[in-house]
Amino acid sequence: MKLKLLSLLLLTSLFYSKVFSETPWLDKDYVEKRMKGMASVQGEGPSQWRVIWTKEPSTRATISWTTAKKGSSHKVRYGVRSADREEFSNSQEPQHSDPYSSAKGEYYHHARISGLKPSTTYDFEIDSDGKKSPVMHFTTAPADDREFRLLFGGDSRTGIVSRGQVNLLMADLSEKDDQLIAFAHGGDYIVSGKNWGQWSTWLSQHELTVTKSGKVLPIIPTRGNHDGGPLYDEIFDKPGGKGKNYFHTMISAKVALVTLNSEISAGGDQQAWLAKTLFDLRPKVRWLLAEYHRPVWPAVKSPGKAKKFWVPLFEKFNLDLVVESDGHVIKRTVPIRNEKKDPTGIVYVGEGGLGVPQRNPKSDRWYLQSPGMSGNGHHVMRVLFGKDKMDYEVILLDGKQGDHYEFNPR
Amino acid sequence: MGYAAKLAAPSALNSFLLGSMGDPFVTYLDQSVQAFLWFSSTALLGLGFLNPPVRSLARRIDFTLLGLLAGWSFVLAIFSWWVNPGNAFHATDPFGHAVRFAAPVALLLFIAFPVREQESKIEWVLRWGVAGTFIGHGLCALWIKPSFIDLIVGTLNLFLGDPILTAGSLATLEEAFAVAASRQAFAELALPIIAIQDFILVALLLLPRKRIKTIALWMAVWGFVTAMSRMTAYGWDHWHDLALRICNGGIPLFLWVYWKSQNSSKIIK
Repeated sequence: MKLKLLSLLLLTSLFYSKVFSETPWLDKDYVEKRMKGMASVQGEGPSQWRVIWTKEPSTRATISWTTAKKGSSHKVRYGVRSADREEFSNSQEPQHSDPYSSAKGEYYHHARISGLKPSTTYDFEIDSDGKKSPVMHFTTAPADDREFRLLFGGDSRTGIVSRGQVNLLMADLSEKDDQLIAFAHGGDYIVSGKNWGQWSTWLSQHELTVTKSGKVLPIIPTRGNHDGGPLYDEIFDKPGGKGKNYFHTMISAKVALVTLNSEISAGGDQQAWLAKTLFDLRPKVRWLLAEYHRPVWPAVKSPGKAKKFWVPLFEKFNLDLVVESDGHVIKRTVPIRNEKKDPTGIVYVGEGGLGVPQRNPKSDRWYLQSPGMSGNGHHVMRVLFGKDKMDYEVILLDGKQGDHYEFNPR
Repeated sequence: MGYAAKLAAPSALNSFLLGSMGDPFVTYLDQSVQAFLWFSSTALLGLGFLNPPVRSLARRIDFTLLGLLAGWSFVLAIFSWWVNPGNAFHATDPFGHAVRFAAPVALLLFIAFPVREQESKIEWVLRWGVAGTFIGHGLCALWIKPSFIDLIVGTLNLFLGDPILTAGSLATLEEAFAVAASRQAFAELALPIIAIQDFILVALLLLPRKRIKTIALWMAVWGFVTAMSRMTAYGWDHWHDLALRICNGGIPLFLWVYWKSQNSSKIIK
């Protein structure tokens, strides 16, 4: 009897040690330990580093960071990745440095780097008043038609430990996959967009997405309904322009992502811009995607007010995939056209699982029926953009696949 | 009924409690409240028609239902502000929704104190409710709430056609951009003017010892027009947004009818 109990105990501990060795972030103690090891916003050194992509990520990127004080000398040194990490051929001082609104003296710095080579890995190091960040690296977007992957996800505003867990999952996915080049956040980073303390925690935790080798996933930001106020623009360097925050990103010669802002007027100027952008992009690209925060085909809530203004354009220009957030569930709709299931229609996926408590989807809604799906759980979405197919999958916290779907070019 | 229909989506209270209580509880809470709201809105219509005697059980039920309805709309307005900290537009909700909880409170007072001397107090509850709603909406208009731009642009698109969606070529698309831009510019220009109008109406509505019937009538018309714009801008499936805001025009209309029946422009104390 004692032997049986001992064996059972041994097997259980072996099982857990196996699980936690492959997915250590499932152990909350491990996550909390990692969070304690993040760079603090103290002294004059750089912290809260991030790389931001907006319009032309094959040749441009913004490297941003925080310092506790204004400081006097800031720069990013960077160069094409080589065996000798001490050699940086270029440097860039931040074009924009200012104090964060409502912060206690912390400063943001945005170094906008241009003239980069497509599909090239760059090492970079941030230097603020002689104090340096670790050497990190990111890969620029391709300018040709090669395959690559992006991560998508939204809603990291509450559930601090869960957010850390998903960040560590993203780091793991990123480290294992050279084709994974960026992460598009669908908005609702924090609860209150005007609260610097919450943003500061989010920014520090974002450091967990950096891999052990120093690989950084550039972020393509979207504004959510909890991200109101000036801090969003200060943190992400006014993506798409102050007051607008809508833009399109040519991620490769054949892939474009249109980021919309569901928190401002959806009709009028934004609708006109969307029409012009889709008119220009559709003939050029194979995979045309849109992302915004409030869902127009929600799995839990009521349809967003943008539905009337944007959906007819999505259908007119035959978008390949639309990414939504806000509902705190996992969902993939059936292809939709003219308010009906239609094989030529648009598929909408989402809806936010980067840490927020999950809801139960209203799975009886017609657009969530098979071949669509709905469920819940913390997750990220990973999309492979290939020549013959676009491969979409949902990755759950334990690394397992929560959903999978293949799209053919139109 | 509007509140009940809106609970097809999570309420602000649901969002507030989700993190601490979990989805099963908050979903159950919303479903229970929805069932209660459907029941009470039907029951109140029936009770109003039957006009049960004072101190009867039916009258007590009437009283309780009105209190709970007022409480629900008040709690939602508070939580709408609370779960969106730092959002100036949501911060106006306790004002903007005032008429929704002032109307059941006024009815409740009317049932509790059915004597003519109390009418003036009840009237002032309604006046302050309407004033709160116009102040809340006026502030949102002054700060150019994005969804208000969409209400105007969407309504113009309904009556004049959506130039973007009907454009077929690049040339017509270029023309459509100009039209779309002009409609947005019109909305952005109109909203501060609407805000000033709202504030002036509030000031005139709250004049002591004055009952300006034209003001009440204008507020009724404006309240109905703006409530209706949820449907004209976003489609007929947004009927619950109109139902939810029916008091925005309904209570000023009631005040106008009441004042007209009093045959006096001054309050007699």
